[in-house]
Amino acid sequence: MNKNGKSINQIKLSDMASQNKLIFLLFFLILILFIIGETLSKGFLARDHIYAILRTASFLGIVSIGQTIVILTGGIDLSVGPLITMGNVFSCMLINGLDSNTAWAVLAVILLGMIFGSFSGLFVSYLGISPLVITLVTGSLVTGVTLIFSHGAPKGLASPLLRFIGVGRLFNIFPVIIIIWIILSFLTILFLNFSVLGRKIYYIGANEKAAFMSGVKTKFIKTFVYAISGGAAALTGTLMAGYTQTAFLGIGNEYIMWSIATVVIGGTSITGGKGGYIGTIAGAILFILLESILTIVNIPEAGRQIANGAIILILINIYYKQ
Amino acid sequence: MKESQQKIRLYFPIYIVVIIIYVIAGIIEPRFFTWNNNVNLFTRITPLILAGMAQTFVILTGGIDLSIGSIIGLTNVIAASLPYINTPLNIILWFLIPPIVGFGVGVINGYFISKKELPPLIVTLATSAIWLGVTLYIMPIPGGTVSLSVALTITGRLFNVIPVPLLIIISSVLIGHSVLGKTEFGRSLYAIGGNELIAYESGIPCEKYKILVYGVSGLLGSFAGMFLSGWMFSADPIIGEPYVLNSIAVAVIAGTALSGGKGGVVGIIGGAYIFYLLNNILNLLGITAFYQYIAKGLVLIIALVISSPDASKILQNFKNKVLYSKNKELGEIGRD
Amino acid sequence: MNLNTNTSTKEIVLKMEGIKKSFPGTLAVDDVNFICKKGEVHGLVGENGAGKSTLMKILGGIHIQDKGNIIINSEEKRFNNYADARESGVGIVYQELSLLPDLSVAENIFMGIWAKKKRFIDWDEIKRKSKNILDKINIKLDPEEIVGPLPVALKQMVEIAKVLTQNPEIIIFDEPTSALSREEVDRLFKIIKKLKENNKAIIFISHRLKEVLEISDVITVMKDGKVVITREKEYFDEDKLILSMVGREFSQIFPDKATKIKEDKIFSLRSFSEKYKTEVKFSVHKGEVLGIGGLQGQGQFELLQSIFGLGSKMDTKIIISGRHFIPKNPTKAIKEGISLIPEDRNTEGIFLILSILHNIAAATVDKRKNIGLIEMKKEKQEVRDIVRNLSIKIVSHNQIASSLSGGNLQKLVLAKWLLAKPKVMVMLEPTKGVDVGTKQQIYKLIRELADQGVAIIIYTSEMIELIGICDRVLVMNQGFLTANLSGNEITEEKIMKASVSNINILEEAKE
Repeated sequence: MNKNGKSINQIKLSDMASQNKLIFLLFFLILILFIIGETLSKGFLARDHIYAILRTASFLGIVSIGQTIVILTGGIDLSVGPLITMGNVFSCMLINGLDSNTAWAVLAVILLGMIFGSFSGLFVSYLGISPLVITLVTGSLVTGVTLIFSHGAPKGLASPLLRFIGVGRLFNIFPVIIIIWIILSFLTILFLNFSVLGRKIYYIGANEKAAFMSGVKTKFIKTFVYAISGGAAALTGTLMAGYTQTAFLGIGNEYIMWSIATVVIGGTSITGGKGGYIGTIAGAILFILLESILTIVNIPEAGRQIANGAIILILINIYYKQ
Repeated sequence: MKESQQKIRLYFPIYIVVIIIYVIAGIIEPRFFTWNNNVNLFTRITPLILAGMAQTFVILTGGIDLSIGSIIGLTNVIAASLPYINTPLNIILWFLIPPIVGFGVGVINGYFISKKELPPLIVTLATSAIWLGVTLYIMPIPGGTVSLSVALTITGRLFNVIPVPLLIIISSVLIGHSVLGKTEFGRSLYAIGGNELIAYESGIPCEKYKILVYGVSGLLGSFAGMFLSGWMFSADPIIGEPYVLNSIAVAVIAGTALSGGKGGVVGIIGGAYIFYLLNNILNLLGITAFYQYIAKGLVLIIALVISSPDASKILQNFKNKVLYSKNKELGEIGRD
Repeated sequence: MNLNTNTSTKEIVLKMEGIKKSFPGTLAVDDVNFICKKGEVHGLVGENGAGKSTLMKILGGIHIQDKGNIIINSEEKRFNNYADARESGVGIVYQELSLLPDLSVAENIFMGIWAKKKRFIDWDEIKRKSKNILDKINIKLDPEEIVGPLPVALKQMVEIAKVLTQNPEIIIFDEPTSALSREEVDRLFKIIKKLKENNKAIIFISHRLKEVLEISDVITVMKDGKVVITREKEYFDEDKLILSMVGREFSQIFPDKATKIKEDKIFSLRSFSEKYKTEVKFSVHKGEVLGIGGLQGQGQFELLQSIFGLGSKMDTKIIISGRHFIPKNPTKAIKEGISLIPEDRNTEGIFLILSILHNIAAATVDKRKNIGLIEMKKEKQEVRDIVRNLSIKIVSHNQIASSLSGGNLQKLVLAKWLLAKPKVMVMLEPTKGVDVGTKQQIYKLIRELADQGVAIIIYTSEMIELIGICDRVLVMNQGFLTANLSGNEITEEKIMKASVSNINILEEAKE
């Protein structure tokens, strides 16, 4: 009996069954929200509006790729916010409106994000320092670096190429950013479910000691996942620059909470070893939909915060009952 | 290892570090040793000490309170929005309402974490948004005010000598330490954090105490919010934000393990001191705010590394590898 | 069936009548009668799944029986939880100790029942009372010591002291000796005898039949949820016990040993211990099962773990089939063909929240990859085959590992490592927490592997196992080898003698 006097005597099939149920629930909720949106404001379901929602969801979705992978190993990344800001600010600065700068600037920024991520990862893996604390600290360092190099007033401009990626459409039909998200989602799901490295991530999250004793290079992989998260966050910031055209300090701040919430809502366990990216995709869309509806109803900042927090609370109440 | 040894190992290093930094600060900038500067420091670290204590209590049970920042903001705003300014009634309300709100809000956190068994990280993350929302609703931009007498008392001196902040620091740490060391509730926190099942089987009311501990966290957060309202003579809805990371860092530096079951509050004064001493030093040296982010981050990392258990293990490993490679006898294997 | 011919004249303190308990799919306890008398040690043996743990959990209030009565001192009792059972005089000393490692001995003993002085905890009183209890059972231990760093045997003493604070009349010892050395077992038995003198009723559950025979006054054997027999201990010997437990004889549990060991050495080791400042050398021949024996904590563990690249206090070099190698970490060790069956499978060997498939594939994912992707079909096939070969009882490959019993979990670990086709298998306590039926299967597997040319090195604290399965036994004391026994030399006497010997046979050979 566990501490609440319940008898533990069920044979449990893999959580795959309940995971699938969860994802259905999420997509069902998404459907409902779309309908609510349409009733509140005609044109909600218009193609362009759906694109707008999915566009914003892409940003959340891409940064959550890293967060999902990190949480799967039993960790957490609270530095994604400052890293998004960094990506946003630095890419504008480096690109400075020129197409020719775009490629190398984007790569440089992603690399920088990965370096910061590895920094956190090294402390987590080799010194056993809690991810919660070290990523908060790294985030603080990143904020400092961003402020120093931008002198507190970010300059620069996104290039036409980057703007095309951010707001443009492929063949004038489908938004490029959503395509990018789809491609990255596909790669992430492939990685997590079918690759050796992805499988090892689950082993580490499920039981790090046993993973080590089974020959998994736990220290290296744990460092690696934080690097990925750092890169994903930096990339997100860069893509956002395509959307906003200029840089904004603090643009990434809310994404700390949002990315964690998205991952958890998507069914990934905070202790690791269980879950995946498909749920995260649903979670991202769900969140942005909610935001969109709140905007239509003209709820002020205060109401938004409450709604965000409330929806997380409600949803985890539902899952953890299972 | 005896219990007393354990305690010394916990507190000793921090205070050594504090002394070192203090001396370095004084060497760099003699202004540092003035009484005024020190009183200033006391005032600055008071809210951090209260927040650090709040976080310590919660972390001891193996949990975390990411909503402490929002609770500080909420109570800060409420403290500065009370009616009947400059009347005794206002002062009474100032003493009563924020703590009740802080405690109540904490209990709500505790309910979801304890009774509903949801992970503290996510719950307090969610509620931090909710409390922030409520705060913004009450006061969207900085404003509000408190009674003059409150403001003067908070930053004043008792009997014209002892700074009130210092009194607050000492009394709250003393009370916190007694609760943790000598009350059923306090000791139960260690048990719950150590192994909840064992605590439960020992007859400890785990569910109740877990709700209570988050209430205590909210309560201490409200004290910080109240203090800030008196000190700043106004309120700011996002004033609590930095306290989330800072309170966790201070608790960890003070020796409380994030996994729970180990730690205490005596080292918090030291931890908070380290924080602000650094700020102070950097300011006196004229280093801009931007670089302070970096400086603080690096110092925190050093503190974390030193207090991490793995660090000493790695040091041991390193010593072993270096030491006994000299003892190698190159004999042949295979013959036995 | 209840052949109760217990005729001692002591007073009955506990009567469990007609206890029945079922879980979905199994009838765990089937109409069991169980009696305990004051001042008597009642041994309880049976395979895992025989129902003895469930029976004790019912007595401890952790499970509630479907049918039947619990009568203590002629009063019928109903327990809803452990606290109820405790109040009625039942105390349990668990296998997994219920102590908090960061707190002191005194605080652990009085956890939840702190002495108070005006609403505050009276630590002086608590320390005083702790000292009293510890003295009563002849333990010299400072109540202010932090529990964590204490050796397991002392931790157990604290556990016993903790149980005694409730003044129980019935004390259940659940597998108390699995982590103890012979000396520590003796010390424990002295304490149990003292408790007997104080008129406590003791229930002693153990897989270590020799010990059960030693300490018990009366023994009950359970099988398949029923009581097979209850009689005074003089009636039994080990063979009879095993016969009652499984319907098989001792000698049949172990497969035949190797009759002719080949000359070729498939594994050689030379290791220097930083802690003991001694050197150990040995080899394993083809077809040979090598055992490492001796009292617990004499360096055996560190030695064997160093083969797998664990730990930093040993400087170990090995030769596997002619190839020199220094194990630096598990990843490299696995590449060289070394596998380690860990001592604590739950924390070191099994992924409880993952599926059977994931668990078994864990050590060999790199072997089934194609451009970084897992070869799913191959994986499924290999797992399917090994599950069948080892007769692991599962419902589906997607089933979560935590749903398996101890014996099946151990097979899961073995399956994982067998897929790696190891050249060397180091096994630490290979049948810990495993029922006799599964033990037999594991012993057979070990013999097969040895015959196929796998170097098997076993560490076990169970003497029967050491003698039964190993072709050769190396005994260690204080970090060095004190005996190299083969064939008929492997006797309990010789092993025990070597366990306390101070002669380093390697030093001797040099002279």
